[in-house]
Amino acid sequence: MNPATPLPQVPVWALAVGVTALYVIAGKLGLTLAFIHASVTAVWPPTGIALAACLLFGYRLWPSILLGAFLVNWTTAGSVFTSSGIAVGNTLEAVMGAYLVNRFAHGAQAFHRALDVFKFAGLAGMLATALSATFGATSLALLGYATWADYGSIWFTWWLGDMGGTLIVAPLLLLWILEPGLQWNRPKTMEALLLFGFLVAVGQVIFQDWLPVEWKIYQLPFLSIPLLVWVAFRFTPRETSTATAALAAMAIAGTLQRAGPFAVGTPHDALLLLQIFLNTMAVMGLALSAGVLECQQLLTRVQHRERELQERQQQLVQAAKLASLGEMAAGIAHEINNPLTNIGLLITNVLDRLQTNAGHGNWRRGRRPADDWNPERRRGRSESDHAHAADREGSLMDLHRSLEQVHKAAEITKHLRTFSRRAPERYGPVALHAVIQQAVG
Amino acid sequence: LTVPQFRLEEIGFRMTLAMDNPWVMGNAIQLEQVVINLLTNAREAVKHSVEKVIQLTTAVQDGAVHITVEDSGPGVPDAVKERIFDPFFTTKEVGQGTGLGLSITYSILQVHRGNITLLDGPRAKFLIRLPLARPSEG
Repeated sequence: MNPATPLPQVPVWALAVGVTALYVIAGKLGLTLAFIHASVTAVWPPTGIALAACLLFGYRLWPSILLGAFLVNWTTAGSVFTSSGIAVGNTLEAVMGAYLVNRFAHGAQAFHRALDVFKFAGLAGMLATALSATFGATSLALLGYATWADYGSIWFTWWLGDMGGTLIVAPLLLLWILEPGLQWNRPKTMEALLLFGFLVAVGQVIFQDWLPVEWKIYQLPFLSIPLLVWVAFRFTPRETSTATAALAAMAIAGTLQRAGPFAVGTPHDALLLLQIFLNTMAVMGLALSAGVLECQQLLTRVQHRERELQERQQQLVQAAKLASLGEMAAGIAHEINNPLTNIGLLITNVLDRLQTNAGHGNWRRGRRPADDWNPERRRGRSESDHAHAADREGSLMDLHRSLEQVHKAAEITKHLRTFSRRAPERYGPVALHAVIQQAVG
Repeated sequence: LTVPQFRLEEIGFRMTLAMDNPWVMGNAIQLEQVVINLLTNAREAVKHSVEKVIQLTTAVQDGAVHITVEDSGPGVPDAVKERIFDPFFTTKEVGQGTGLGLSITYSILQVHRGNITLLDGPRAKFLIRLPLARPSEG
């Protein structure tokens, strides 16, 4: 119902027809590999197809599944009634499996976390499939297509076959549909080819008896474990599910030809051994690769965090640098304040002296200082006297301005000092606009 | 402290202050730091813009002072918006800034029971809200 990755937009009718067609084809192919009864196979791929379709496109596809399941069974063996019963079971299985996986195991993303894989295996693989097995075996027995004596074994193989479809086919489809692209570099491609070669070789050794007869031992299937571990550790769940599916194909093919370690006893025994082996391998591979994926994601996150921390440390160093720069600025402001005070004093002295000496200078020319401020007397001055007075007044003005500038500079240094001082956190009423004016300067 | 720099960089500065003179409870130096931080960020933001204008307004509303600082820079990208108040988050090159400015601003305002938000819009516009000092306190 809720695919996390955007899927290509396909019209619903095309989806519906596609799912039915795929279901029928897979069912027909599956049934060519039937073991005991015409309708019982080691792995029932349509279950996987139906589950994947429900997980990707929602439960609304249930009529397609119902129709597909009915067609497969009706054209194989049995009546309209048995086929209907089986079809209802298959449909319920898919819808209920998808619902449980959506509800408890992150839906189509279930193969990204080991815990979700186990939930998927339990809920969709073991619980929902029991529905289908019950409907199927009961339909066959009720209408006389199978004896009640066989009910138990039919139910059990039915259940394990659907489980195989859920654990082997559904992950394969979901993982490849959700992530179809290959981004392998050269070494990775080489490794994949090598791994695949090994897998095929080991599969043939185990299931086609490539070894001399006297070497034929029943524990040989264990050979496939290291290969699945390899693919789980070095690749993603997608490749792991592919390897599992390839192994299943070889195992089924070999066993049907009465070769390999599972071709012992009755066909029913062989089927049971095969199903248990395949489902075990599938859960192991999926869980392991999900666990590896989780570790990798964790590692990436840690590395990302580490990089971020390093960057932040650089910022901290910078902050410390700026803080010491601030302290230096405060110190410099203090140091500059002293010369500024001295300059201020000196200018004041000069101003005082000029104002008193003004009288003195004029006195030499035979005038009293007070005359300067007497407009009547001023009028009698000579031209040079006028020029001289203007000059002096200009100088006085400049000195006053200088003094103003000194005061301004002193004000700035004072503010710098208060601002950079580690201020005691004193709170009180503050006139906001005064603060803003201060900041704006 | 900031406007003389604006003049040097030919940045237009407009200030519209509320008619009444709002009083808030707090620490003058820290509040000044807040204003300086925002103006400094705005200055950085308009550095490479054709139109260089920074606007500061104050207004009294619902028992709080609203101070806004808006600049004519390119605005804040969405990816940055989420993290803009995170400590050490900076868009500047290493060595250019500490990444602490807005984080410090944020925490100062928290202590003052105020807050700062980045308003939605194409331009960077920060809104500071500070509760007014109650007359009994002022």
